[in-house]
Amino acid sequence: MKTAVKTGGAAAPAPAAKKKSQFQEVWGRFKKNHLALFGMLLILLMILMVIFSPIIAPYGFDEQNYYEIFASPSLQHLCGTDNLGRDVFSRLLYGGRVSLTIGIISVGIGLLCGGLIGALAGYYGGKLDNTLMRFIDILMAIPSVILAISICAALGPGLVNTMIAVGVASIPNYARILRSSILSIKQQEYVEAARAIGASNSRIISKHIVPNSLSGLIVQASMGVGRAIISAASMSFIGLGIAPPNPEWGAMLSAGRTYFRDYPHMVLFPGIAIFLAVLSMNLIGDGLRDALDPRLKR
Amino acid sequence: MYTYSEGKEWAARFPGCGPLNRAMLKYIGKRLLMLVPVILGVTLIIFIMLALTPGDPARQILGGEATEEQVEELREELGLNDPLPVRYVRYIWDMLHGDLGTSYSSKQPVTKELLERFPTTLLLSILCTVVGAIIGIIFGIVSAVKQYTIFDNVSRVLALAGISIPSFWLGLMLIIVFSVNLKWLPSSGFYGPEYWILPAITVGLVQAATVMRQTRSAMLDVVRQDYIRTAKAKGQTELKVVMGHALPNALIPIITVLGMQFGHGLGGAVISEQIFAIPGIGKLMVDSITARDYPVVQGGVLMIAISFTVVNLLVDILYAFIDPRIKALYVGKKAKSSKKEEVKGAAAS
Repeated sequence: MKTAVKTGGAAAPAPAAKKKSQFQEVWGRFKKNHLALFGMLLILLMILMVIFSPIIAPYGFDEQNYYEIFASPSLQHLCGTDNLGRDVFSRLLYGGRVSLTIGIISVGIGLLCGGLIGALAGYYGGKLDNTLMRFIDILMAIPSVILAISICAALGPGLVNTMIAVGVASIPNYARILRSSILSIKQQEYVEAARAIGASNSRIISKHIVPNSLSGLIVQASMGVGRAIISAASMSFIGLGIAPPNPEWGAMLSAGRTYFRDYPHMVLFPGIAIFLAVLSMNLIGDGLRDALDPRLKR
Repeated sequence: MYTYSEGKEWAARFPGCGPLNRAMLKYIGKRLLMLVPVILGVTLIIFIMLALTPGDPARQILGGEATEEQVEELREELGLNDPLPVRYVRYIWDMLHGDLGTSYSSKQPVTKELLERFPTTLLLSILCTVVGAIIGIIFGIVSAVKQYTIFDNVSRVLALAGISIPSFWLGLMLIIVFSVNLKWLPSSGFYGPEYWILPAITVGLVQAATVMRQTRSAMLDVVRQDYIRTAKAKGQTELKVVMGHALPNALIPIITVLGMQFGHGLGGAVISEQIFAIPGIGKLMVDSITARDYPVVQGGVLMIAISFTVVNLLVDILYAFIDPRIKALYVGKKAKSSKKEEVKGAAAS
């Protein structure tokens, strides 16, 4: 008995060490991908800038100066000013808060609802799978932009409604990914073994199936943040997302549309901000896919 | 597989339509039938969503100066006072007769309004997909064949940039360069080929990025296969190996992504039509959302959803023409079931 305890004690650190090394292994592979690392640094920098926007921003986001309307980029106004004389750079910083938040939270909504539907459908199969997946098929029949726009039209414009619209439109994507990976994982021997020793369904799903099917979902979610930022910006652009006085990147582009022929800086910089945020998330997604791909393990 | 006599029997019953085509026709029929519940589901979701939208369409139509009585009268006339299930059943019944309702703003039949604009949206989507396919496939193939060269690295970075660019912003930038500064191309309208170029390039470039990534990865999977090595060992030119052996085997994922891009193009038309003031379904839908013209929004979503589903179906059918293994699958199913029938027959006798 003593020996058994000792053996157990000696064996205990091993899985912990293995777990740590697995993370380190993935991180090590991710680190080697310079583009992915660049993407991570870029998004971290953007997040820091938007968090500290009240300190960094030289002007308030709604500070109007009628003597300096449509000013071109200069040292005083790094990205110029808009039709009301507001500093575009300061608005970009404050707007980043809204855009990045929409990106992250809407992916959270999609991931949570889609993941739940996918997990239930994939694990339980049968009638439940059939019913849930037919519902997903119906949602998939509507292009995601149209679905998001329809939801936004029904709920009305606003920050929360935009997040819900973009999040719900991404549900089918996550549901299908998780379902397909669960379908393959639930056939594995370790799941059968867990069932054989009497583990409950919820334990099997949470401890065995979900952790093993996370890699695909993580990659999709990181790229999904980028897609969500673009979707939200598209909706604001056509006047359905965030209302114009609020500094959101898409809304800024929409507001600049009227004047962009004469004052291109009004649309140039918000577009670059969206592009950089989405690019960095795509770089991270690509890097994670390579780092998590077991075929690339050496 | 099929016996000789079975094949002969089919050939006699359906001249010019072998057992394979018959199996495929059955599959197509089944897929078309499966469209019905999907379309019903789409109508239900959109109907409920728009019915729950705050705001009264009758008030919207009549304006702020109308009296309560007038609004109530119009509500009754439009059937807006009926319970939701009644309105939905009426909508479906009318839809089956080709009637999607009447536009609140223009007072025109929605079907007519949509059909007038559909060719424009369809043409725009086709043009965008063609631009995306040409650029994406060429860059994808060359990138895969010249893996890890400067061309490959630059193309990959460009493709990544392409999928990160919001198409509406790219559209504005292209208008600034080609319409405002260079004055080469018109920036709004859709009256002739010169008007098609900017919208097609705007959406096409973004689509090309996705197509390029998919083509590259599909080609990389194929070029490592033994038969490619054999073809090279036989002394075939690189062009012949790529076009004759590698590309046909990498076509399935490429066609899949093209189909998806076409569908997204139909949906994305909502944005691109706004930028370039193109009178298509997308622009009509956005204008109708602003005006709370529900019948038009419902009809627009339905039309785009049907087109999207039909494109997916066409892509699935196309698989069978591209890949003989998928063709064999249809025949295999039929063969299996006929074998089962044989066994049943034998057991009965």
